[in-house]
Amino acid sequence: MSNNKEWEKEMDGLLGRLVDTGLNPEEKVRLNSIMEENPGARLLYNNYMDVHGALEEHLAEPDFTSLDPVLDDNVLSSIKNPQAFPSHWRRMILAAAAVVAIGFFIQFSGQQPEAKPELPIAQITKLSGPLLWTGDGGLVNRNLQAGSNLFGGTIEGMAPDAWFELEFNDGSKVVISGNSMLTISDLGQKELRLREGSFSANVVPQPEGKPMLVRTRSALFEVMGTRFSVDAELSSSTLTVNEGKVRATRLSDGSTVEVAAKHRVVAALDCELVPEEMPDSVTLWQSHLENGSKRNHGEWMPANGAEPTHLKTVPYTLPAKDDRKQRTIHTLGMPVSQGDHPPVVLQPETKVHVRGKVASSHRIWFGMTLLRENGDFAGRFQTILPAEEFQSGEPFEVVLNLTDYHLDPSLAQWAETLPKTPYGLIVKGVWCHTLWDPAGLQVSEMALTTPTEQ
Amino acid sequence: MQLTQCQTRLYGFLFKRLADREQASEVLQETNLVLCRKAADFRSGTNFFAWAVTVARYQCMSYRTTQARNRLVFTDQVGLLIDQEEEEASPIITQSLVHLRHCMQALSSDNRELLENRYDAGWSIEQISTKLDRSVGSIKVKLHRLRRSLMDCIQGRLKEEGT
Repeated sequence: MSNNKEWEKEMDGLLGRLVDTGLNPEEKVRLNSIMEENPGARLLYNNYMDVHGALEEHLAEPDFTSLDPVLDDNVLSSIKNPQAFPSHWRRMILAAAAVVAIGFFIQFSGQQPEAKPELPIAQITKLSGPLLWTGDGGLVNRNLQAGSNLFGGTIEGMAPDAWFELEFNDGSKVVISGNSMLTISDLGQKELRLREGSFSANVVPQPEGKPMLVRTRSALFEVMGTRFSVDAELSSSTLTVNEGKVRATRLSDGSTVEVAAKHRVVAALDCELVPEEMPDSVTLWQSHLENGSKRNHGEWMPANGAEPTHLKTVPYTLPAKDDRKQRTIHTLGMPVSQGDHPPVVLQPETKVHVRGKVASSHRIWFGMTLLRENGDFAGRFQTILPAEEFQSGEPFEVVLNLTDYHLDPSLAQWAETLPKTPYGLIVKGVWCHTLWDPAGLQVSEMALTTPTEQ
Repeated sequence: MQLTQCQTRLYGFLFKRLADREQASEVLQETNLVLCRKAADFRSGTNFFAWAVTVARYQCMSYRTTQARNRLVFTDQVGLLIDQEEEEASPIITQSLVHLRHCMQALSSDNRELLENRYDAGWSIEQISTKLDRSVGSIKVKLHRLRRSLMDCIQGRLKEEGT
């Protein structure tokens, strides 16, 4: 048997050449002979080739050229003629043709395109409002129910009043509320990808070396076991840690920080990646639609003549499960305690101001989504004003007391676990809507005030 | 879509057994043909990749019997040992992919970029060396070291979890 050091050094050279350029005949003979003699060399070969294969699989675009023989001969002959198609076109055509071929493959085999993993990774525990689940194989489901098992996929909150809570098999909980899009997976290590919006989570201690990974466009967060929330925008992500500790990595430069309890960090290009203590809560808030459409839910319209900047409602049609007639909610919403804004806490004397306009007189629902101090979902509270209060085509201004607000009836089955009143809770977002008819509701300003601090 | 999705992994499976790119591509083509021909045999709800790999394994064996010994890199004995040893490690291979993602995060952005150029963009060593204005030899050495360091990182993580 060759000396360890010698064969290992030789294997190093051979393996590198094998995957990058290929081996010449002498090198091939030598590779076989080293592997025949040394079990350690075979182990090294296996591990090295697995890493190479995993890199190809993880990073590379699939190569469809080996599907050539599956394709039609005539298509192939034109594709194979190098003068007919440049190489990059050939590759694209092959890919497209491959998809067609696979379509036939699936159709003729009469099988489902995807087999679900054997065990679900999580279960839906609570939900309400408009939600859409895209699961394994691209299956879209709008008729979600508490208790349903999940095998990995994407949950999307379609309106400001959406709410969804899931529990992983180990008891870790994840909640989205409002307009958010979150992909979950668990292949031995939990991974969440927040495409937009926000979510909060209460994560039980994860196995050593396998933290829950939370990805956004701009950051990676590694969570061992803690309570935290994440808020993602196009170019920045805010991590707020309520309990425990989370490691945050800014993807643009790989810089990393540990974020402790009661701290938060913003991962963005234009600011330093430094955790800061969570700001003290405030009791006042005012919308600033003139600053742009960012994070609002609705159609943002710039000021035009006498018309101030405003948000118009956007439609959401209910699935048949929730409404047999599949009617439409016309809704708009604004974030309050999200991103880098300090938490806004409701006082018993807080008043809600709304300025806007309706095209036709209509009942309007005014609501807010609330959180507990630890970031947990605390319900949606709402009040309804009759159509008589709103004149067609006329601007309106309403001032609402918190005593007018009540828990959204669609949350009645979880009322026991939710606060009875909104006092002392954090306002995540405010929203308003009309039901079924497009009343042309638009809002130019919303504010939360307290008489003493106004 | 399953067949397209597993092309890279099937190729990896064959490349490991044949240690020759052209031969691996040749057998992959044959494998795809057989998979399409036998599509009706696939049982819904079972693991597609496992089925495809079984077909690829037979195609590989059949290919070996048709080739002159001097065209093949591995003797039958070594081929058999690779097969046996991989079979024992198959759950670990699935885990490796999960750990790879984590280990990649620990690399510097330069190193990640180098791997992305090689694997994601599919550039040759020569193209990378021109782009980075470094010698072909140094790129080869760097890539090899990166693979070894990822391999050590993955092995370390597997050991930690007692796999």
